[in-house]
Parts: sequence; C-alpha cells; structure tokens
Amino acid sequence: MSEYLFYFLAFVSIFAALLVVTAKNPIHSVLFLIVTFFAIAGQYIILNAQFLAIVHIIVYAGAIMVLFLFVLMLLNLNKESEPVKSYLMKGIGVLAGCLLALVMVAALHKSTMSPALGNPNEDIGLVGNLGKVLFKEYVVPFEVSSLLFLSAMIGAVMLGKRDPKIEPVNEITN
Amino acid sequence: MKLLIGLSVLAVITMMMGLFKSRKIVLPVVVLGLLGLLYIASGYGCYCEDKMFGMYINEHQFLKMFDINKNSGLVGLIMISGLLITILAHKGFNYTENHRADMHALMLFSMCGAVIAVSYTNLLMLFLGIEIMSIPLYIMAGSNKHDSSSNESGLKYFLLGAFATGFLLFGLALIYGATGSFNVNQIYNYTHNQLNVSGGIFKMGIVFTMVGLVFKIGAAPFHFWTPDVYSGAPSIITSFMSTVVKIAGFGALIFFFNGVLHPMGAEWGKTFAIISAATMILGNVTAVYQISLKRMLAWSSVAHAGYLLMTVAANGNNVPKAVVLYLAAYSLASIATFAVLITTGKENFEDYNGLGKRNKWLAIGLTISLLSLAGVPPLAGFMGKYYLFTTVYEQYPWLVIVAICTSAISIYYYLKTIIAAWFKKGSEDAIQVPLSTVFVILVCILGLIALGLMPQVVLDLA
Repeated sequence: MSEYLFYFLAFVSIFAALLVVTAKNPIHSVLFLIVTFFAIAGQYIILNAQFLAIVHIIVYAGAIMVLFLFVLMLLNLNKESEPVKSYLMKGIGVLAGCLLALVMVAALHKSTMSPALGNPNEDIGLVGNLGKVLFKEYVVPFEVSSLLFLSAMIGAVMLGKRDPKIEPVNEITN
Repeated sequence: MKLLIGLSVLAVITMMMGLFKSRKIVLPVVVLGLLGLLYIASGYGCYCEDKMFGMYINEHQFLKMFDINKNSGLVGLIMISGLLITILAHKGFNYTENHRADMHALMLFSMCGAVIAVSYTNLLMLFLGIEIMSIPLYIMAGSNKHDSSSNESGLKYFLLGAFATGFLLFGLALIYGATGSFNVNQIYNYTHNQLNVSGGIFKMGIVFTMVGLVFKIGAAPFHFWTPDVYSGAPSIITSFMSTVVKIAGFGALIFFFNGVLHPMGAEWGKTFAIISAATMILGNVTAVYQISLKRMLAWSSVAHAGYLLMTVAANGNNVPKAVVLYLAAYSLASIATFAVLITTGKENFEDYNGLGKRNKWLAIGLTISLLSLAGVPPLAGFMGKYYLFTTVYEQYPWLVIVAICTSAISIYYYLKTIIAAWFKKGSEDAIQVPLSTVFVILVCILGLIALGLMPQVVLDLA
C-alpha cells in the first residue's frame, strides 16, 4: 500500500515541479510549487516523520509561499518588463540541467547506502525522539545556529531601516 | 570553546552599545575585547570545565563538533586580521555613521563563523560556520545604502551565495547518506576502508561540496561574482572579504579534502590541479586589463586563491604549514593595501599618480605590500610562494611552472601601481592619515618584513 502511495506522490511532485518551471503565469508557478511541497510532505509522513512533515507544510507552504505571492503582487510583473532570454541561453540551461540529472542518476544507479542507515529506528521521526537527539547529541550546533539568526535579524533591521542621507566626512566609496 | 563564546558575547555587547548611542566607545571596546580573546586563545588553549553552566554539555560534546586547537594557526590568523580590520574601521565605517555598532557586531559574528569553519570536526558545523560567516557578509556588502554599486554587490553576493550554499548542503546530505555520519573521523574511516567500492552517492556528494566550497573562495569556474562584489562593496568590507573570509574558506576546504578525504586523493587531486591552473591564469591575465585598483585587487585575490589551491591538489597531510605562512603574508599585504585605499577613498589607478608626493608613508606602505603580493624577496610574499611551490613541486611540476609564469605576469600590474605612485605626476594636495590607519599600515609592513626574514616563526607555530 505505502509503496503505491510513494510512487503516486513521487509522480505528483515531479510533475508539479515540471509545471512550476514551464507555467507561463508566475501565480500558477507558485501554486504548483505548493502542490510539490505537499507531495514531499506526504513522503515524510510515509517515512513516519510527522514533525518534519508538519514543519515542512507550515514553513514552506505556509510562510514562504505567502511571501512569494506578496512579492509577485508587489512586483507588478507584465510582458513588457519581462527580460527576454535568448533561445541559446535557454538551450544551454536545459542541456546543463539534463547532464547533471544524467550524472546523478548514473551515480545513484551504482551505489549503496550506508549500512548504518539500512535499518533506521522506525520512530526516529517522532517529535519526542527528534527533540532528544537535537538537545543531546546536536546541542552545540543547535545553540550555534542562534548566532546565525541573530546576525540575520540585525541585518534585516539595519537594511530595512530608513536612513537620512548623511554626508560622510570623507567620501569612502565611489 | 572559550574563544567562540567570548567572540559571540563580544558581538552581542557591541550590538547593544548601538542602542545606547555610545558610538565613540564602540571601537575601543571591540579592540580591547579582541585583544583579550587573542590572549585567552594563545595562553591556555581552549579547554573548559566538564560542566558548563551546570548544563549537560561537556568538553567531549564540544570536541565532537569542533576543535579549535586543531588549526590554531588559522584561528590566530583570523583573529589578528579581524583585529587589524577593526582598527581600520575607525575610518572605514565613516560612510555608515548611524550603524557603526551594528557593523562591528556583524563583523564579529562573521568572525565567529570563520573560526567555526576552520575548526569543525562535524560536517554540520562546517555548514553552520560557512553560513554564519556569509550571512553578515551579504549584509555588510550592501551596507552603503546610498550607493547603487554597493546595493548591487550585496544582492549579487546574496543570490549567488545562497545558490552555492544549496550545493554545499546537498553535497553534505549525500555524504551523510553514503557514510551514515557527519563526524569527520568516521568519514575518514569510510574513505580509508572502502577505497575500491564505487560509492556513486558519496562521489556526487564530494562534487557538490567541492562546488560549494570553491565558490566561497572564488576560484576559477565559480569566480564570476568576485570582481563585481569586491569592487562594489565598501572598501573596508572588501578588505574583510579578501582576508578573513578567504582564510576561513581555505581552512575549511583544505581540511575537508586533505584531512577528511585524504585517502581518496588520487580521485579528486587532478580536478583541483586543473581548477588551480585555470584560476591562476584567469586571475592574473584579467588583472592586467583593469583600470581600477580595487578591481585589480579583486582579480589578484582570485589569482592568489589559485596559488593556494595548488596545495589542495598536492594533498599534503591536513593543513600544510606553507599555507598558513602564505595566508599570513597575503592577509597582511592585502590589509595594508586596503588601508591605503580607504584613506585616499579613490579606486582608479589615475588617482594614485604622484601618491609619493602627497603622502610619503602611504606610498611606502602601498609599495611594500604590493611588492610582497608580487612575491619579491626578501618580503613575506616571496617566502610564502617559495614554501608553497616546494610543497607542490614533487607531485605537480607543471602546475608550479604555470604558477611561476603567472607570477611573472602579476609583477607587471603590481609594478604599474607602484610606478604610478612614485614617478607619475598627479594632484599635489597632501593627504591626512589618521593615527589608527598609520598604526595598521606600520604593523602590516613590519609583519611582512619580519615574516620574510624569519618565516620559521610561523612555520613552527602552525
């Protein structure tokens, strides 16, 4: 049963991801992206990782997609302002992407997963177990990542704040 | 560990000082704090008690994630370069008077990331270190809000950097999938034991990680952002990017390939040799055609990345001492050059015509640091190149020949600047140099001469 579900979700996610790239209307692209994210969240649930699935939906499908839609609304995209890309560039892009995909498929074809990951603990994805791993084994990276968020917050405030134009004592740049 | 906690606490304190409008004392506090941290780091190593703050964490827990004593030479170099640049910021941050404290805090956060990136023992920390280093950089590169080229450089760096980070993360995930661990020792054992197993996923992971890290140091196929970002960002930030960030990126790259993936050297060595040769040739040849000193320095930093990549290809054990010496020489010379750039506030070569008449000391500083970058004896740059080339020569003689030829090209564009400074006629107004800048230039010059005469000091320490 879960095997069929896996193939169905995999098909949906790949199909929707292709539509994201090919859709003409950016709003449609965003909607297909949401479909992709939901399909991937479904995969997490099959793997018994409920926490990851919920976080994935809340963060990606919820927060980030809303942000995308806002930006699209504010940008006021239309045909005239759209940069025209030459067919040569598009062709090169498609070719490079296909080559990368080919190499990756070839690499996957002849490789083995680590035996350590062969029989994973079935319940590892549950919130309780995840929390134990995060706060025991990985507590240092967890704490260190707070530096990352703090600096990002400082930056957001600094860049977002409206500055009065000041005349520097000596012109530094320019 | 003390060093990292100290650095982040200092950064938070600095950030808070911006709140209380105490802009005058920010710089002295940061400088004193960094000096104190240097003392702690040099004196006692970085051991801490079994139980910190009564928490579960103990030393063992930290050592599984990172070990500052591992690459102490590079950590010291990051701290000293950061300190010198902080002193330069006295004048360098004049463009953003309202955000002095924030900028200092961001720089300290970035240094935290750099320290983590050279001392990780767990790939998760490698990723976090690189990110903590990069995010403040994107912001700092775009911090001159009224200058469109600064905005462009910040945005460009952010978009391309985020893309490269995606590759790095994907690569690390694939490596985890193949080996079942993020721990460097276990990955080392995996590569050591399974040399003949064709681990396709593992190799894909290595390739993606290579892309991510090579982007960060700005080497050949992924160098396109370097000139635009370096020349668009405010000069003080460019000096930070071309020293501290380069040291950290290299520390991370060399430890990952020459330390963790050492047994597989035969498989990726040639790739790095080619990347290195391409970087040297592209960087040096393009630098010849530049009309702006800052852009020329950006291309020359690409070229220096190429010289350093030779050692990765040669696959010595862990971080070779020659690399530490070379990075020390390169950082000191870059900081001195950027100090001159920040003082004059001009970027084109023409503006440096007759610099010798306008301020003798600035011109001397520029001359010595550029000569060191070009690798003229008896300065540190020569010693750095000498040791670097001898390390690589046995395995890749052709690479050393490319390096020597491109070094010869580099002498042309470095000398062009020096000739402009001493022999060409330009404006005659004297330039006032603040005391802080004089101090930095003096320290750099003395360091360059001392390292050139006694390179053993660094080689023994590292």
